[in-house]
Amino acid sequence: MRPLTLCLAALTACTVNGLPSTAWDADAIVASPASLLVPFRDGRLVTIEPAGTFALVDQGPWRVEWVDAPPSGVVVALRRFALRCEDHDGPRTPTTPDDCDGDLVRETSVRLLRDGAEPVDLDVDPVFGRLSFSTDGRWAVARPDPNRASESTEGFISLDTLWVVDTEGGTSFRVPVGFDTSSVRFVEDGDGAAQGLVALSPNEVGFVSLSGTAPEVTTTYPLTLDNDDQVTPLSVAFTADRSHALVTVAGIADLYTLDLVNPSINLVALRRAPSAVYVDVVRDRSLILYENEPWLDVVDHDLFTVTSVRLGEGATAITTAGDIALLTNRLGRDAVRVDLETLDTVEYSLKDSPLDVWLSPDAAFGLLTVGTSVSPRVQVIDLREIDGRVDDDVRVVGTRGRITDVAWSDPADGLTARILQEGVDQLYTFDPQVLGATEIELAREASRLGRLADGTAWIAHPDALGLISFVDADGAVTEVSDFAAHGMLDESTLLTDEGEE
Amino acid sequence: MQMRWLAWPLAFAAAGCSDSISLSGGGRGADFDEAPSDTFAGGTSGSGDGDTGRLPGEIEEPRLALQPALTDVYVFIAAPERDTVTRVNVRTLEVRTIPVGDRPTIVRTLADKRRAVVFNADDDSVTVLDGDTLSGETIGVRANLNAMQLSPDGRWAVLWYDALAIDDGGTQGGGASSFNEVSLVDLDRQVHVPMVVGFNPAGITFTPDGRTALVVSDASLAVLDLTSDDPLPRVVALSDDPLTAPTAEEVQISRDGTRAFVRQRGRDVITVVDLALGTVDELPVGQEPTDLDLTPDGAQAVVVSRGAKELTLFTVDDPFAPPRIVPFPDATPFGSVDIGDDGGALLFTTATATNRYATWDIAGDTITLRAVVKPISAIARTPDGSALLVVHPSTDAADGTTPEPYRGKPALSMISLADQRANTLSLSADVEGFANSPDGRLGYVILEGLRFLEVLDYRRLLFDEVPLPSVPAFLGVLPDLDPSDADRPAAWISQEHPLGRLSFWDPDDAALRTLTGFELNAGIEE
Repeated sequence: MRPLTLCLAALTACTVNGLPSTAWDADAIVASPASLLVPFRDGRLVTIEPAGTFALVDQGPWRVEWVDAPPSGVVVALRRFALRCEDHDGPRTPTTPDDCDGDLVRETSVRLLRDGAEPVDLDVDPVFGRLSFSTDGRWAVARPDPNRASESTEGFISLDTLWVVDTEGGTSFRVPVGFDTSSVRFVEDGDGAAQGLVALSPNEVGFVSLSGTAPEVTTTYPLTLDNDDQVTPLSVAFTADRSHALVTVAGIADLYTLDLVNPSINLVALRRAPSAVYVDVVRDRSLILYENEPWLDVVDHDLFTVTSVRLGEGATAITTAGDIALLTNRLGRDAVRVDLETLDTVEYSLKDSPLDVWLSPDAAFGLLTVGTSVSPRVQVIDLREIDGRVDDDVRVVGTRGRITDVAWSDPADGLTARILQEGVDQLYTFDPQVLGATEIELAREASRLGRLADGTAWIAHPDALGLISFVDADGAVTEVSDFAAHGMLDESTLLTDEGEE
Repeated sequence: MQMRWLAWPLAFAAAGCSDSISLSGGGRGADFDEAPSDTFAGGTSGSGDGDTGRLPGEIEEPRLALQPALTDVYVFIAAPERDTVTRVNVRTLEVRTIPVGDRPTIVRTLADKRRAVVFNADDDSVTVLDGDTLSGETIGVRANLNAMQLSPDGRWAVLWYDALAIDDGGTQGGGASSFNEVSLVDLDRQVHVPMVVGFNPAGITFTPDGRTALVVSDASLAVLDLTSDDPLPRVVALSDDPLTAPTAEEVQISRDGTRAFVRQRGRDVITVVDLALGTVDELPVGQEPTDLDLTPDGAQAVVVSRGAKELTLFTVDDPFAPPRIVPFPDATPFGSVDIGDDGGALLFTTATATNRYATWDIAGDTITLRAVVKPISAIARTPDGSALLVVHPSTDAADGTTPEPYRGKPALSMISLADQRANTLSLSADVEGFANSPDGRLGYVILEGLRFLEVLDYRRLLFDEVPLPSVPAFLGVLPDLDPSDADRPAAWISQEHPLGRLSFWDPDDAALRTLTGFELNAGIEE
């Protein structure tokens, strides 16, 4: 056990209003279906309702490090720690930095919250990082973080072990896979239920079955037979029937296809290392892009044959909506609309290289932002096919600031995009058909934009004491402020292990 | 499917369900058929006795080792460096890789198409694999062997040391090595019968009924009675002086299995061995016999005498009856004969820069000269006998008649035998190998070092070029599982890749499907 330094963290984080927030982080906000969970750096946790209320969650001696949840929000995992002083007064919770003469022990756990169910607490070694969830929320998995190995409560911690959580059963498992696992993906059926997970590690890929009484590695696939090689898998995707995993590898012009049913390996020869891979689940094939090769290669998932579509230039990103994909190059000036059914293409000549691409959910319009704040603007392309023709014009709209976030409305309610701009205290509702926007005044500039399940937009602002705006479908704004200060002074001292006071 | 490969020996799995050949490697004077045939394959042979002033030989050695083997469902590929064999289901492309013995260098499939036999060079064993389950039995053999051949009925495997093979053999044992030993393995009973035959065994052949095996050595023929529980060799000397005996280059066995006809390098006779009595007689032929073949009905043995420029035809059942002599129509030194099922034959030579071949009507004794643009390095008749595939070297015709577009480059010709139309293709590299579809409509060619599969349409005499993902090594055609349907079998092409690569070209949809990296399967942990 190592003694931890006591410090006063909360006050230093939150005492200067108007400065960028240090007590809370907009990126740490988790949206459960109807509310927001906001963890603070000092370990407090606040729930915020769009009606404008917030509440501090009573956690006793525990502090929240972070919050993880699947997109469905059916389960929320609070990663927490508590400090326990072991001195002559016996094990206890210290209240001040000077309140412990003995060892200060850090305990770490994950609390699982489900609607209508009692919370479940699971002990976890601090070496494990953020949890990734299966779509249905049943399973979660965390990888060891070598940078946190010194925080481990164990003398030796295996860095080739995953921490797998059965959120329904309220149990967790350690599953040994390859060393230094870089990525984990669940293998799910059409309903989002996980059958297994695939772990990418240098030189190998492990398949963990979740169908038994406990998760276990059933197959390990080598990526090389030469131990002197360093083959680094980058990403994994699955065929529509989940029978094969498709693994891209750094610097290698092969797509590894791993048969998960009858374990075997096939390498699909590509032109070079791909810049982007997209699995078209509907048509059960993969789209492959190359940064410096003007080709779109399409790999069918039956016999893994490759068909090719000529492009004007290489591409680095695939953005999809419905049956349309838009191919872009972060350094190029082309955007290519691909009909995923026919593979017919339409090329748009952009005015600027695109930074971010947002396609409307009905694949009618695309917004492509420019990666500069000097002359901010957005490029608007019309993706609709009308009378057998697609308009390949690119319309450019100037903006006050660089676009930082876009949230599309439900097309059934009339297609608009709510847009945030850097340093601008207004939320714009942009109509891509008429290239016009209406403004919603915000209390201050925004740092993050999201949507709740009912479509209500929430906007986080960089305010030290806490400021979040909710915007309903009619544009009505409800602000929730000062939540970061709530409870801060209830405990005059807070314990962290940051080593500073 | 019956194919006739002239100048190159057949080099394929004993299942005999496809035709393929690879031209690299090299150098043995004689070569021996692994197909279920009653003959040694190849037209002529001979290493070219420069010291006697004779022309060079007309044969090249294929790379037998590492060539895939087929059944009607599976392709088996050995990986010597991994100690594994990979099985590919040609219908589903399912791949399985299993460990076998140390350094498996040869894999062959049995005629029953249900088993595969693997020779493990470094632990001196053969592994018999069940094609479906991949369960295996391993049987030890003698050390220092490097060649394996299966009997047509699939019961026996014969292993020997081929002194001129690329692979120099497996373990050398301690301080002693033998060059007279043969391992005979009963694959059904999994019994190993080691034996000593003549010095430097060069090949094995079997009688059509599979009851007898002949091991051909430089100066002798070892006759093995395969019906015996303990086969022992009965050695028949082919020469009175074993120290100076000429190398036996070619053997043909009569259909009834009673006689063997042996052509020896540098001798102007054909040696006839009575396999029952073990007696040896000689049949004089014209100067410099370079090819020995049987007519399709097995009734006649045909000898090409390149030096005498004549053909000699013996009656197989009565070889000592006066032979029929057919002189060549001109001074062209034909050295090879290919006899088709229709009784027509081709005469050609690969030993000189001659840009001619001849068609020979055996019954009518009519020989007609035909011209091609370049000399010939190989000829193959399509399975339906409608066309020829002629491979030309980069060497031009000695008489200077090679047209400009073809000078100095290798080439190949598709020739219609119906009207002699020809389409000669100039090639960027030498032909590495070729194969024909069972129906004779398509041919497939790979070129040395080039990532292409050339698809030949023998009816139209046109070609298409299919890019391959890497440099090809071997090719062949899968068995036609149902000749009555419209589906044509795919061609397969194994290619150079550190982790293994095999492509299948489907002529029906003109699609190339490739399996790569199947060697990795050996490392899968379950």
